[in-house]
Amino acid sequence: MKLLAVFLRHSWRYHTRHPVLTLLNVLGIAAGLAVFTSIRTINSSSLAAFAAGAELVTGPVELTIRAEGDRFDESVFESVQAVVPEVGVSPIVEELALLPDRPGDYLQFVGFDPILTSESVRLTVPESGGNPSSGGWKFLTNPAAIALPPKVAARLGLQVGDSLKVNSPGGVWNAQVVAIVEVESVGLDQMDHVALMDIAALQDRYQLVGRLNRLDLLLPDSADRFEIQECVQRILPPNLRVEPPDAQQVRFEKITQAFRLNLMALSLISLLVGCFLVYNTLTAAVVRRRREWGVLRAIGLRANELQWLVIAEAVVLAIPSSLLGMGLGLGLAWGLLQPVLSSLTSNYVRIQASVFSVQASDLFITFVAGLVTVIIAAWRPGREAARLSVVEALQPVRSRAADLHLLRRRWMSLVVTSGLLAILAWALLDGLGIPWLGFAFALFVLMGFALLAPVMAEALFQLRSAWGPKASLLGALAAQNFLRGQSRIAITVAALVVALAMGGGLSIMVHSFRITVGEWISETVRADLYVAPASNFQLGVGERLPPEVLKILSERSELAAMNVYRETTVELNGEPTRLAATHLAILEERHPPKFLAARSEVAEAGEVGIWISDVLARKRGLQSGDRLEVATPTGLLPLRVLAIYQDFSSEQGQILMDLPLYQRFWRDSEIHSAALYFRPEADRAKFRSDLAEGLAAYGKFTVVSNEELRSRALQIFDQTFAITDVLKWMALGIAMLGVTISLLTLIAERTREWGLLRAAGMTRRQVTELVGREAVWIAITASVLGLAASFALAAILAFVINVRFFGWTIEWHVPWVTMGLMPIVTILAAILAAVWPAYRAGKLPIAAALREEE
Amino acid sequence: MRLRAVLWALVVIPWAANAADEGWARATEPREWKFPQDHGAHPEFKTEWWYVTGHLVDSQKRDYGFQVTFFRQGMRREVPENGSRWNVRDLYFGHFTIADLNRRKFRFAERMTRGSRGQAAYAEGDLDLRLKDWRMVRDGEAFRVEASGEGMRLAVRLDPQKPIVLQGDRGLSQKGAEPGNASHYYSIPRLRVTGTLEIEGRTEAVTGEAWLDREFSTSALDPGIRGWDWFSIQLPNGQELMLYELRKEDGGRGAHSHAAWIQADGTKRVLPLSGFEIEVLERWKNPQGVAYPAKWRISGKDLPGELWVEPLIADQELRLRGLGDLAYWEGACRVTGTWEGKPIEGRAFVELTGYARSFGREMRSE
Repeated sequence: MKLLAVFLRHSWRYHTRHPVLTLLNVLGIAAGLAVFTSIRTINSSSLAAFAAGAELVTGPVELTIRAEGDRFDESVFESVQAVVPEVGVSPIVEELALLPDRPGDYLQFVGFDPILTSESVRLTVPESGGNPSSGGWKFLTNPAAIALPPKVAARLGLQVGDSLKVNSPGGVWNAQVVAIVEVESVGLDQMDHVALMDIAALQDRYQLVGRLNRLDLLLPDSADRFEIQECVQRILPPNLRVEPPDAQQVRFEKITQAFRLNLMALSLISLLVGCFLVYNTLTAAVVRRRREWGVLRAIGLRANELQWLVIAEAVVLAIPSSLLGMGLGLGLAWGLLQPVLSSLTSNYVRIQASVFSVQASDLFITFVAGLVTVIIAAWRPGREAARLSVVEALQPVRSRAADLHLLRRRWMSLVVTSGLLAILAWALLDGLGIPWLGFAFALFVLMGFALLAPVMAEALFQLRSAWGPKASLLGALAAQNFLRGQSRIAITVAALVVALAMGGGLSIMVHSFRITVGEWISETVRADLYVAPASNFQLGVGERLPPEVLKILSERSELAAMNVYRETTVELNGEPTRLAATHLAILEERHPPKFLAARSEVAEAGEVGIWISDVLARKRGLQSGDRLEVATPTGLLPLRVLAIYQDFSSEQGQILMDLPLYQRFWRDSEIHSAALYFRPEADRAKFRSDLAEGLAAYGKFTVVSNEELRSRALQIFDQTFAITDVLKWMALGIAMLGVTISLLTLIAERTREWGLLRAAGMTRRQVTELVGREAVWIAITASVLGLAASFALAAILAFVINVRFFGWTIEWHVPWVTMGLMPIVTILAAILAAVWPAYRAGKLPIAAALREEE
Repeated sequence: MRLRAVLWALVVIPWAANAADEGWARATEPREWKFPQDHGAHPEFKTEWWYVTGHLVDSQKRDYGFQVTFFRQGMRREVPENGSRWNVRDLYFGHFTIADLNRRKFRFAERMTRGSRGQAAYAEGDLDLRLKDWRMVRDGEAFRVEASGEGMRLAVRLDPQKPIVLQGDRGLSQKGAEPGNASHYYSIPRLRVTGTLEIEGRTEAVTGEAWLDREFSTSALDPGIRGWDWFSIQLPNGQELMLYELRKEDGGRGAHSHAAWIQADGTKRVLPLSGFEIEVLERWKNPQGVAYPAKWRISGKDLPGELWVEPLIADQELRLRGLGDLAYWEGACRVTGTWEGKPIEGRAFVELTGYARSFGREMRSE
């Protein structure tokens, strides 16, 4: 106990004497943990946001009936109610509507039957103080009545009695807030856009008569859920499915798994860089404090006790770091959440709620991750400290040049281990299909490159000795110092390599991806104008184009051709899949997609031919000529894959089907957008202005040219990768912090040396320069390895991870300018990181420096 | 007379007073009754109900009280044509209770719907009511009633034992001072019940006697009326009594309170207000502490004796959810007393409204 007290006192003294070093350490770990926390929080929040926004379930719903991604005919209601009379069947129809007075804002209307759900959904009029239902009954007969959840009412600044302008296919209408909604056991408080209407009013107003999005089943307490599920499924048409409401959530989690895993892997890199940093500092501390620890050993502290004390001290440091990291991480998550939700919306499914969900478990894991990182980082330095014999510890520090050979050997063996692990991960990857093995593969390759640091350092040193300027004494000294300090510096270089490789690798991958997608977009977006309801562009939903609008368009003489699109989700071989129906003949004539495989023919009567995207082909293992089955309202329909085409519009993959066939089998004439092709002589400007006038009566529409649509598509692409950019810079920032710490400890370690140099006549300026030169050495070594690792990592990301987990095929393009700038920026950043250490070194008083370590 | 729908009108549609402006028919004079047509629905009136209450005994000699009621409440006279099929014209709702007298357990169930998509249909021109899985249909001279709820199901045939009694003045029953604040009202005061009752997981054959009340109106209570106590009494000598007292906010007796004494041959005598008295002897408190009367003495100068009416079990309160937390007491009672100079024992059903209004939050936090 007494020894512990002595240790703690020493420890305290050490850290208070080196506040900057301690602070940098805390910051380094905190930054790594911040990235980690933020990604965990973002991942949790996006799942929570989906959960909150996807369903306003009208009570304790245990089962819901839906057609995958689309509305269905409400006549199913009767057949369901007939087979399970004891179950409450609550019909739900949903629609999004823009608010003309609040640009960009919208309401998600949920049309329901308040009578059926009166036990779980309560419509109240707070001021009236009367019967809680009184607000509800106005619903039934007033077609303009809406009810808002408290949060939405507050956000819009509305109260009961107020009205609000809302878009609808029939024009703008005045919605009247008649009640405030309370829903039992539902995350209503997290929904920002939900508004309730009576089902009849919504169907009438939004031309959805006879259509439903969902049937919620409210089961009596005594009911057997599985029995009812089975019973109901039996009588449903094949395109409908009865399942627990969270099935959607499970599916969302599944389809976004790779996306979330990707973010998690990137955040782990920051943590890894942070781990290097702690290791580095502690190893330096072993040297700095060997005398102190020698004394402790001399007065009876046992070796393993010392190791634990070193680790314990690191853990104590980790606590403020973790707390700081959590705080920073939550701030970072707060800032990054919206872009992530937007990119989830553009890539997967629409997320309408914005939920900032801070999970205690995430914070706990961050805390544990912080401790584990620090313990891992402290383990070896602790052992090193423990291994020192008392005598050795009390002797002055010897030069460690002799250690270089050993160091190189050790690191090389780690390089080989990493290489072997990488090969193992690669080999298992295809066999097991576990997504994180792809990331493990990337990680081991990355580690392999990083661990080459001492070898590369020596190679560069040799290179300088052979080819470099001989005359520069300062240069030679810096190179010598750099080589001699390898036992400290190598780890900093390694950390920097990891960060650079991540930055460079991501840059190459994103650049390649962007060019590939850009080329695809310019191939695909070839019509002169595109027309769709405004909400489809703004909210990413499938509102239909009224037939009147289609008629206006088709009658214009300026057009050489027009194609129309209907997008929906269907169940293909039991899995939800996007389907786009369009006139394939027009598509092929105007701008055929890039076909990737031999085309095939319909083989049997009654089959429908489809084109499938390359992503779908890869994800489902499909080939041209394969036969599939899709559930339609009229029964199961056999399909034949006629062609596979390149497509970047859906990560889940997509089917293209000829529109007349779709309309026949789905009994659905909805159209979501139109593509227009002009005759060469057409007056395009006049056409557009005519159109704006002609369509105004039928609602709000977006008319965009192909350039506009292209740039919008690229915008979405860029948004998706915005977060990777942030992560990249965070990792680089932490690595640079590592450079500063590393230089500071080097200077501290060699205080006596500085004193000697100064005493021998070296000016303060020269000492400063010497430190700067060493920083440049670190940067050069790291850049060489970092560049090589970047290419390796980019190749893995582009050709292994993207293909396998996202399904994209990316063409290789290198952003040469960025890659060329990388070493220059690294060197400049290293010099910047050296400013403070160099200043410190220059300022050391000669006499005091000489006294040190005597 | 049953004022229940008026209660619903008060709660459900506070603007019921404007009913006439909306084109609803009103009961202003006696109508020409036609049966079986008038057993069917009258959608031109805003409010309508079919009310069956009675006493049952099963093969094990266990006794039950039961109530099955079908309501219709008009919400608007017309709905848009070619619009959504969910547009509400009427609310359809029903209450079903079983008072299991031997186990001293009261169960109730409710159904409520806007009727869309086959959830409810009340036929016009004859009796054929469908409310979700509940039914009431005419079967020759008899009626068939089916209702169910969690853990209980009743399927019975009702054979009238007495002719239809037109209440009030030839079936026009005045409810308030204003003309039109009246209902068309008839009763069948005694029907033989045969059928089955499923309860506690067993199906029992049951027999017994019931009372049918039919009423339709576009009516409202006079201001200042808080609720009513209603009695249907069946005596073993073939006579029945139907009486109700409207209670004013100040506790006084409303001017349109009413009593009818039905003879064994079906003839009816209306008693003047001064001719009968209903005295509360005991009270019972529900779990929320609301006090209901729980024993009465019925007497008067125009009656040939006096009767004591007492609930067979105390708690027969329907604590409803469908209409926004509303409660009323409707239950099976025992009748004792002296009648025409002899001791007598009979049965009754009593309805007590306006005691508990909204239980609201308290119910929910249970």
